[in-house]
Amino acid sequence: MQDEDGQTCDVHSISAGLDYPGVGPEHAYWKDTGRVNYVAAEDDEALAAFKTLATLEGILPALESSHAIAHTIKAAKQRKPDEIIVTCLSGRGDKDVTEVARLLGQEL
Amino acid sequence: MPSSRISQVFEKLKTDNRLAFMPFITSGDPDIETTAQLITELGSRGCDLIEIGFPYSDPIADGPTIQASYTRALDKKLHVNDILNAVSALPTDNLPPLVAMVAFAIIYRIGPEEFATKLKAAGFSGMIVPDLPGDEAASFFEIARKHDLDLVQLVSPTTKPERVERILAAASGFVYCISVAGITGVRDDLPPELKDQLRWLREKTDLPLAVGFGIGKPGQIDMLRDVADGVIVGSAIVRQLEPLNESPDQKATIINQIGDYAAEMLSATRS
Repeated sequence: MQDEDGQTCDVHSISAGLDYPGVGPEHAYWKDTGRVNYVAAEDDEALAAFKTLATLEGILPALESSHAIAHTIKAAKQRKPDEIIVTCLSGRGDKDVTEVARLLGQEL
Repeated sequence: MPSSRISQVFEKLKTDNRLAFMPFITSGDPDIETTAQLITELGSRGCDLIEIGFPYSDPIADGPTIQASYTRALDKKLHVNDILNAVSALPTDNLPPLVAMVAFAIIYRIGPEEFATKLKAAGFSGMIVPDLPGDEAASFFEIARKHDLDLVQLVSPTTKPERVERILAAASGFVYCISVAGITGVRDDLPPELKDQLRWLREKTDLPLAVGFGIGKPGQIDMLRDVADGVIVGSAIVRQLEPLNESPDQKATIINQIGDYAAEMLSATRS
């Protein structure tokens, strides 16, 4: 992500792994060729998805993967109940527990 | 092709039996007006060439002094056009050649052709593009040449001989010889292997050899007299400007102090 002079933008995400202004050349190519549809989730949506998965399934997703969960929940509402959606849960959220507690204003 | 302004400077220096002194300054630190005044000051003191740094958010070879100056300038919302406009307003024909030190990320965003056009129109004579790999620079070298701009290439102590040959094929003006395997910043001495590399490079190219990174003292110029054609000094100048961010009223004093420093370095270039 750059400004009009090519300066790297100062970006932010609650997820450390996404707190980065660049994207890999493979993803960029897939987007340009239309092979993959890329969507975004906001910080608060990812946090809500983290809570939902933890509450319903007892699984702590990584904050990175929580973005995917957030979109899965959104996409599922557009689908019939018997349709199956596969979501890649790419990382575990143990590493994020302290940060999530801080964001939710809870003491561990 | 007629010889470029930069080549003419080095031809003259050879006749005068003197090394080139090439100061580097960061645009927009503490502000672009001061940068313009500094260019004028350095020109009036007789500097042979002036390098103008285009602040970049992700510098790759710059040490802490220059990186901090880039950050200060960008925090004040300095844009590429501010630099070009400030240089355009100067009487560049009466100044030593100006060389832009600019990241390829900036050039690529603006468009290589458009950037070269604007740079030439502003009065620059050449550019140094530290993040453009020398052996991938052929097409940009053609663009630079079309716009009558020299493209100065960098060679480091770790550049392999076969790469040096490919890099030199897309180089003009002079060769920027990095003195150390590291980043910019003033050091006390120079590595002993540097002289060997410069002697080797001398056999490979007719381009003048200028040494940068770690140079800041008159004594270092003397060590390079027989093996190089010029020296580049950045951090030793940029750090003198740091106090201006706290005390802008010191501007005239500090500009004069940098002028005195340039004069001292220039007198060391004479044998």
